[in-house]
Amino acid sequence: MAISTKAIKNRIKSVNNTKKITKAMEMVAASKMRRAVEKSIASREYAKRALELLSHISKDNLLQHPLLKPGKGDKTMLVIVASDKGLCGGFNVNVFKELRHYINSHDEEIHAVCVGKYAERFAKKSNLNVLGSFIDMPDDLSPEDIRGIARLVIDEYLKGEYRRVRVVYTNFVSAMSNEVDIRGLLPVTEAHITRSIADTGGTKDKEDVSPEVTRLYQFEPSDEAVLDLVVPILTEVQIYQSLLESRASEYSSRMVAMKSASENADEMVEDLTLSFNKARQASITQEILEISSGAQGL
Amino acid sequence: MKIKFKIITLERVVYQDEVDAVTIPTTDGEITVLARHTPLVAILKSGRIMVKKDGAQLLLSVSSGFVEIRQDSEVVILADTAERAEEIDIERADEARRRVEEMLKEKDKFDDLTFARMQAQLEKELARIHVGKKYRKLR
Repeated sequence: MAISTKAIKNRIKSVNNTKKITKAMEMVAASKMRRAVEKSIASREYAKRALELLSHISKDNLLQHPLLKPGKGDKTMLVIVASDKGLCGGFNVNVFKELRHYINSHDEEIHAVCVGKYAERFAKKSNLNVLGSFIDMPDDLSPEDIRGIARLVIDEYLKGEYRRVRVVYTNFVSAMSNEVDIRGLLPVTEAHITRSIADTGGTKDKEDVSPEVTRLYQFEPSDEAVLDLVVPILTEVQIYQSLLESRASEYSSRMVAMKSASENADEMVEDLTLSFNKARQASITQEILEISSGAQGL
Repeated sequence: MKIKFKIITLERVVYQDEVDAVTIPTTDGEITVLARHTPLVAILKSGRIMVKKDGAQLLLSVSSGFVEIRQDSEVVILADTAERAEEIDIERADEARRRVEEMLKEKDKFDDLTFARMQAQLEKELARIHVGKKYRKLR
């Protein structure tokens, strides 16, 4: 009997150690989440304004820019945003569920640009053609870090093989709920943008979208110069915003997952303590029984 | 009539207010926007933005980006970076400028892209120093 109490004691110890780790991870994720959320909220204003500008521009039919027109090809490029690390609950699983659904329901050749190790793994497993994979993006994401992704996406799109580019990411709604979203990135069309503006931040109030503009814009120095600068930057901003939202969601799901892991550990320790006490009591009773029966035998 | 004026960067809303006039550096030269300006989209250049409000003047430094003037006297500036004059740390800007200048001397070592980026950085620091000094003088 003594062995069993010892084994239980060891288990309690190891569960407690695991709990310490999950607790620490929960706290780290919580603080990282706070920062990521702050950041994504801070850039929402810019993103919203930029999208409005883009939608005003794209309403003008006279303007010609390769990024405003659907591509000549018939393939679709997907930018898949997932995490680099695991232990974040259903975060990646949800992204991939949505993706699989998309792939099955669309009969088209899909090429992928992956952000995050898990995205890369998924793309390889489902035999998608991977154009590029960006892993280990810095924790403190800056617009500079996105530039590479945006450049790749835009360059590939301009080559004309693709009809459109969409991005798969997780929209941060609140700490408890995120939703996976697939939205259009290129070509820049008004429908995409109105949706993006409304969705930015998960709050679906459409009234924030600025009213119709009737008069068209003048461009300085020239239409082409402005569009050449504005459209790629705005595409970059959209990618940046998607990554920030995904980040915030990743940390929040990690926090929630680690919280429930810690709670489970608590429960387990309770159960184990109970069985430990039972085993201890049983062994004491046994001993007393042995002694008293020995005494009787004398 | 006032202009609804807003400067936004990816990190924050730097400034927003109802103002009388704004002077903005664009690639085609400085423009001053008053109320009821025609809708316009222009490319921003590193430099200073001067805001006039009820006779008072306010300075800001910006680096690249663009400006959108809407029909209803609304001016939105989307900048890569922007700072109000009082926030600028001249010493640090000066040091950054010197560092970039130092690096630019060995320009053979860089590819075009890095070079262009550094040049832009230098312009940005110069604009910051300029605005910061101006502000100190005004005070």
